[in-house]
Amino acid sequence: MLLAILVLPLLAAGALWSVPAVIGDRLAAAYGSVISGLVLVGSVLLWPQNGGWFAYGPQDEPRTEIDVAWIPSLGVRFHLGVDSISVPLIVLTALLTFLCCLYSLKITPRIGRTRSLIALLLVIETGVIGTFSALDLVLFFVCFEIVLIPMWLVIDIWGDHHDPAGRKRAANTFVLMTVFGSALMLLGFLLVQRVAGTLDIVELTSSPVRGGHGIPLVAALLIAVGLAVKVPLWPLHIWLPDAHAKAPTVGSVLLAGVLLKLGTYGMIRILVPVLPDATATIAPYLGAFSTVAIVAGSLACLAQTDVKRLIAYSSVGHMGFIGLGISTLSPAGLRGALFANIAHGLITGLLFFLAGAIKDRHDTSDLRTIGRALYARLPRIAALLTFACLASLGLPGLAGFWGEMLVLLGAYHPAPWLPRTTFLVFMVIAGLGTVLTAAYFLRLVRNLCQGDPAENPPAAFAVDLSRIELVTWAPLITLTVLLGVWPGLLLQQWGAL
Amino acid sequence: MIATVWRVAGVGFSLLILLFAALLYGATPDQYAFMNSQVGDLTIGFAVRTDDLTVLLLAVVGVIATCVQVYSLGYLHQRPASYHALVALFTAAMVTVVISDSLFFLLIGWEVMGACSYLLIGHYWERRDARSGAVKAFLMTRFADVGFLFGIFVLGLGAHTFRISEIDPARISPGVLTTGTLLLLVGVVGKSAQVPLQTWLPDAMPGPSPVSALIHAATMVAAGVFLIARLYTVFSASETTLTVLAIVACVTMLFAALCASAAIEVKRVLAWSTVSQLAIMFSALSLGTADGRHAALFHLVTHAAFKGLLFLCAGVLLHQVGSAALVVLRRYTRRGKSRKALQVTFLTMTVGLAALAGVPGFAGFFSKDTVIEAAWEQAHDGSAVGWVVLLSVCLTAALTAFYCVRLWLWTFFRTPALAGGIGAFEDGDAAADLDEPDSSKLRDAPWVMLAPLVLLAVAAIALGYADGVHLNWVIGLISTALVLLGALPAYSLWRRGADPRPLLLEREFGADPAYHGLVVVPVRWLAKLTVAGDRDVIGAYVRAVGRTGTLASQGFRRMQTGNVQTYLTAAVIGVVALAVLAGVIGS
Repeated sequence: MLLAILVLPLLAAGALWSVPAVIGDRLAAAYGSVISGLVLVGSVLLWPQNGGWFAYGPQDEPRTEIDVAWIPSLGVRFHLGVDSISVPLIVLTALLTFLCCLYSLKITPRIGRTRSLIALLLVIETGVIGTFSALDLVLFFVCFEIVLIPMWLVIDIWGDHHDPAGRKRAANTFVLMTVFGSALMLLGFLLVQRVAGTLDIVELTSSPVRGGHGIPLVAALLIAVGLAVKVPLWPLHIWLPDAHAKAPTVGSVLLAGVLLKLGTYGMIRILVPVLPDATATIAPYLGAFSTVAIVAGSLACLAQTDVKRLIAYSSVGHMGFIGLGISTLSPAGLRGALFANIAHGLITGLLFFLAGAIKDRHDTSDLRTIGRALYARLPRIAALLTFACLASLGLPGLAGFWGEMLVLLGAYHPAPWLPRTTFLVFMVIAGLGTVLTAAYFLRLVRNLCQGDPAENPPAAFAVDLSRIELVTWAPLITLTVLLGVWPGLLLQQWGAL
Repeated sequence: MIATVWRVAGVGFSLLILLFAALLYGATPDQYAFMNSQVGDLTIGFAVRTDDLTVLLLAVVGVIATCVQVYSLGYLHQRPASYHALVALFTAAMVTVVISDSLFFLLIGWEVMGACSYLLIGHYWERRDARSGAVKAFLMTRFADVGFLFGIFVLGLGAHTFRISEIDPARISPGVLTTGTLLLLVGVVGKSAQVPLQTWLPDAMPGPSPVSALIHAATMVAAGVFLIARLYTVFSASETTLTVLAIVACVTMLFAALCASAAIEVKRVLAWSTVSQLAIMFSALSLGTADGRHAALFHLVTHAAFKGLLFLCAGVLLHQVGSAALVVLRRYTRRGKSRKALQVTFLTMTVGLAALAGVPGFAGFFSKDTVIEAAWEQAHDGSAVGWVVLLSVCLTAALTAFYCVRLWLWTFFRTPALAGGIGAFEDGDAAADLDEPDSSKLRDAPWVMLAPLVLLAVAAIALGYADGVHLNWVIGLISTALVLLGALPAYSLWRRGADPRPLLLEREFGADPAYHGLVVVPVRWLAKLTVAGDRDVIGAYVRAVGRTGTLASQGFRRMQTGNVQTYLTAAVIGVVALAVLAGVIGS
């Protein structure tokens, strides 16, 4: 099943490119929706039928789907498998890709060429699912890289049509910084291979590389920095606001909803179990940078004048929470990070869909040009935006809360070999960061949704929520509420973590 | 159509709460946990419970919510669907707090209430003051809720459970207990608008009046009092926390009462009076005795009735006259016009103010006397906290009477002073009071709005006797004397047509500008600094790396001359250099 959902989008993308260009955009989007819908069904079938299966740790093994020699001379194996950490992320990926294809049925970037866009989305889906299921370090790296090029093209070709130079620059910064990070990561992987003699994640997890100094530390640092670019962790986040702001709606959604998770997933999958001692050495620094990211991201949001940039920066803050959770190395913190991964994917995906909808309607994403009083002009979209903002600022009862709460709980009670006082300080600062988060989201609602309708007349072709938007967003809204009132749905999966 | 559905749903939901309260009345206390999940060795999940406290609060919430929903049918015509839905959600959140036995479940209700109050205060989002008031309310309570969340961590990990009924103060170390309760107290102070987080509540007044009634009477601010009553065994086990609570409460009750005596808008007076009355409840709780808890809850119930009533009355004034500012209202007092036109409102508001002031026979009198009595018993036993509470409650009683009488007289009666006390409220334009407003269309509100008023007015009298009258005559006499002491100066000032408002009180002790300068302005600066840092420091490095790459590639391109001699020379030099290097390393 895993192999099927991995190969299907790739083959479908190839098929889409090989057919003559005459097929219409609608047909291409419908084709993409069917394929990604099948992948979604397949990924849901991966969900465990009965509890009590692998969550990482030496005691159990993941459900291996395929394990064959790939490059025997280097000891690289084509090893795929899933467990309770990766399945929710795979489902999230499949869901967001499906929704993006569905959205493209009616709403596409003005540049056109929807056929290629859909094909690239499917390639991205393959790469991401591959990364989430790779159990070999080199395979992980390869899949990690597969994602980059299509994303680069998506930003470069279908980005903001007002600013060709800007979108090119954004795409280049994105791809160069991430490739730079991946190179460091690969170096780290090779060091691990030198020390441990294997590249297999399962073997490495059950017999990790011990020692918090020397080569393991260097390897951990390289891997951590490489993944931190992707997360992105402050101060390596500089590619993110531009990339998000210039990318087309579907690109932003996938970028924020799925691609950022590759970094945090890598940390949880590789860094923590494979190099436990070295990770413990760097954890306080990771926590410190994450805490700075929370505050700096929120502060940067307070001064943004562009709605897409603002949401992009909000990702920096939220990913900071995830980084802090990982750095606590405690059950609560790690679970919080995993939960926040999913919640952030759903909520920020929704936020970028909404921002895209607002941008399409006003042909700009600048807050001052859009004007205020969206409650009067686009009441439904504005109400959904308020909902998404409340969810994103971590209102209890919606999905965003549990991740942040567990991360803070983890920081209050970090792993016993970490300095507790340091993490208490992180907890307090991160707690204040949640207030700043609330502040910028309320500022956004105030400057965009509220205001005097008399001074802000409706735009000429501002139609409220269309049917395709409702259909596309409804799953995200439903899941946000569902996970908010029933966090056990995910938490129970990580029972023995 | 949708609006009608939500109206019916809103009223129906609040009636349902009442029904539940009635069904649960007298039932044996019970708990039920559900949807638990294991995180490490902690259990995070939900749980509900029923006991006397739950039933009492459910009844209060049900009655007030029903009154508010019914009243809103006549009051609110702008965007009714979202309004009624949000009021129902607001009520549901309070119900969650009340029935919860899990700290996280309680937190959900606690913060959803904050979000609902944000949305409802900002219901008239066209208005600037409503927008900023809503944001302020949410941010201040959110800030306090961070402390609350940390308090949950400390207590929950200290007690190894997040179930309220399983937290046993005897098994938590005293340091942890004090830290945990103090952190919870931060959340309570924010939610109940106590000093130093008091400024959001008066600024929340641009919201629709029925929402104010709901916030002030039954939900939101009452949640703070409820929480301490719920966790009373935990709180009363920590001496330090109770002392801090007593200090906060005593400072707040006097502070707020002074601010109320200088406010010039009906709703603002009432808002400050809520802050002050909540502080009275907290002071009773800070005594740490069963009597104190009982007194606080008694006052909570009576306060819910008369404060809900007063806000709904203020809503009628806003709705019918068009403003609740004293400067406008007093123009309609000529020849008793407003009294005659708004007869029911006048009578019920009189009852409400009498109950608030503590006039003997009304509900507020009895409940406040219970507080004083509980404080007296503590003081009698030689407790310093008891004395402080006793004195400040007495002083507050006098101040309360002062501002109630002041409000009542200036709102409904023409001052006998020369020319109606020119310039008592009209800053700048002293003669503004002289032009007579058109009061021919002034008439009382429809019955759908007046019926809740009458119901609550009856409650504001009857609830005083609900607990069984056990009056301490000495305390009763003293508090009556205090009421007179406060009422007489107000009357005499009104007779002379003067309303002196010290600048310090009118500016509410300068708390708002101070917070603005200490918090808002630095945060804005930091935000600008961060963006500039991203652009000019981090971004500069990235750009510099890019430029270095470009320059380097240009440099390398220059080397690709195609000249074989150059290449050969370079190769030879390289070989020689390597040979030398190898020799050096080898030796």
